[in-house]
Amino acid sequence: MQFPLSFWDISLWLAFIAIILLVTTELVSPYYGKTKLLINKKKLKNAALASSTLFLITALIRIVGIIYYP
Amino acid sequence: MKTRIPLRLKIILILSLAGIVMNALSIFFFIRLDSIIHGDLYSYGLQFSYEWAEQYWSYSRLILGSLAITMLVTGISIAFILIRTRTRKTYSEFLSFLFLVAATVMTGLSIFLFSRLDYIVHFDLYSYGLQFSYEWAVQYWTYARLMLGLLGFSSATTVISIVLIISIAGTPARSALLRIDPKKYVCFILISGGLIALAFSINYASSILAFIGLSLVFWGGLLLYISPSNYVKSELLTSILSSVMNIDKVIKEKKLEGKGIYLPPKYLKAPESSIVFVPSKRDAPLPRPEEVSEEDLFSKNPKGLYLIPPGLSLSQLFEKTLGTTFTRTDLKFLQKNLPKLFIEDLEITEDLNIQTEDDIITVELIRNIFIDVCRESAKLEKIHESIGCPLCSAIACALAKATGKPITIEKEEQTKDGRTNKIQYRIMQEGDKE
Repeated sequence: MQFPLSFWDISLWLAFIAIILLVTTELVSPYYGKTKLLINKKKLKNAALASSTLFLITALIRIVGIIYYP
Repeated sequence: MKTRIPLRLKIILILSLAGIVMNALSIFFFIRLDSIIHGDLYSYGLQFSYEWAEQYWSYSRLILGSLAITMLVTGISIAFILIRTRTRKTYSEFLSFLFLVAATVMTGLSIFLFSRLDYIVHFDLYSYGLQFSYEWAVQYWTYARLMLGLLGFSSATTVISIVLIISIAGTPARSALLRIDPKKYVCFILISGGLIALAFSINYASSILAFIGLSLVFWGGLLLYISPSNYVKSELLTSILSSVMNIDKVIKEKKLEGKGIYLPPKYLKAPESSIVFVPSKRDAPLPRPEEVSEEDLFSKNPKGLYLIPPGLSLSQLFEKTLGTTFTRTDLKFLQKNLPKLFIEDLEITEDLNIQTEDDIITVELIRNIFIDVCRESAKLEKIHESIGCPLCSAIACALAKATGKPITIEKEEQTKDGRTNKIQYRIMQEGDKE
């Protein structure tokens, strides 16, 4: 028994999540007049940034892997 | 000591036990059905192949697993109901409710998985030599219908139990169930569903289940995280105008004619607070800093009134959110930071413009949430003329602190469509008369 997703699967999943969250964060931004949405937009932004950072870290690991262990 | 079990709890216990029995019977019928497929169907031309068998086994294991989990969680729920009857602790009701919800979800999952298995039997197996015959089909349909019927009854009993638990929670002994925000239930269901899917994905090495589980856990957690702390209806803002009405009444009573002057920190002993001075005459001079006393209400020289501005708390909230005090800032800082504070941080307005021209500062607020408050306070003649609505007053407090000079509200206008508020402030020089 082992977890069926590999590191790269999770990286791809993170990329999807990051894109969805970043686009949502932009669309619900109060700068577009969306001041009446019952969402804590600051926290949504934090979550979007966190998931994109995580994705970038996985991408960085992949790049380092390609360079040093081709 | 004999414990008396309330009628509703007795019904829940009986229903839950019935649910477990029905689940056990559906496992029995499923095993019988499985023996038809893996026994009888070979007599009707079916050829064994790992291609169909592996898929079939996966579904069959998942069905048995989910039915077993359903029985287990229903059993745990019964245990919590029994704990409730003995200890009267409300958290038991809540936990029992959650386990019953999980049982319903698992029953639904079993039905879905069975439909997938049925598809294999009725479509895929014909490609492996199976010949249709009523001899095996009638038996197969009977067991399948019995199993699905029992699962349907089982989920019905579970749903009735859930409804009964919620109705118990409505009694004066308020339970944890009702104290928990409904949106948290949704998050909890998502997270628990995700965890179950993850557990299954590890057991059956299914990457699809792993993605589903991971996503459910993530979105459940995210929904819990991004839910707003406390939101109130904007209509409630207008209902707290009585304090402003009092100020209006005092100004009218004292027949004060001058415009309110927001005094800068150098006039005050506590520089973090704010005071608005309302002189008795229009051309009255500014009071000298040493003559101003925050404790006093009346001023003798020049005659007037020292009031706490209606927007003081709001301006303090601005400072708290910005993480600074306006006394340490200047007008440029306000021009740069107030738009972000009003739009992004506090979501008060959709847009904000601050323009300065000589000693006049014009603040334009587009679609602000205080629009009704401003409209209502504009009906109070003296407030509108001299002190301004709470939002205008808060901006005036900030300007007085940032510029270090006295500020008056010259004009406050609202467009006909009520979309935009335009407020003009004047920076007074020390020798100016109001």
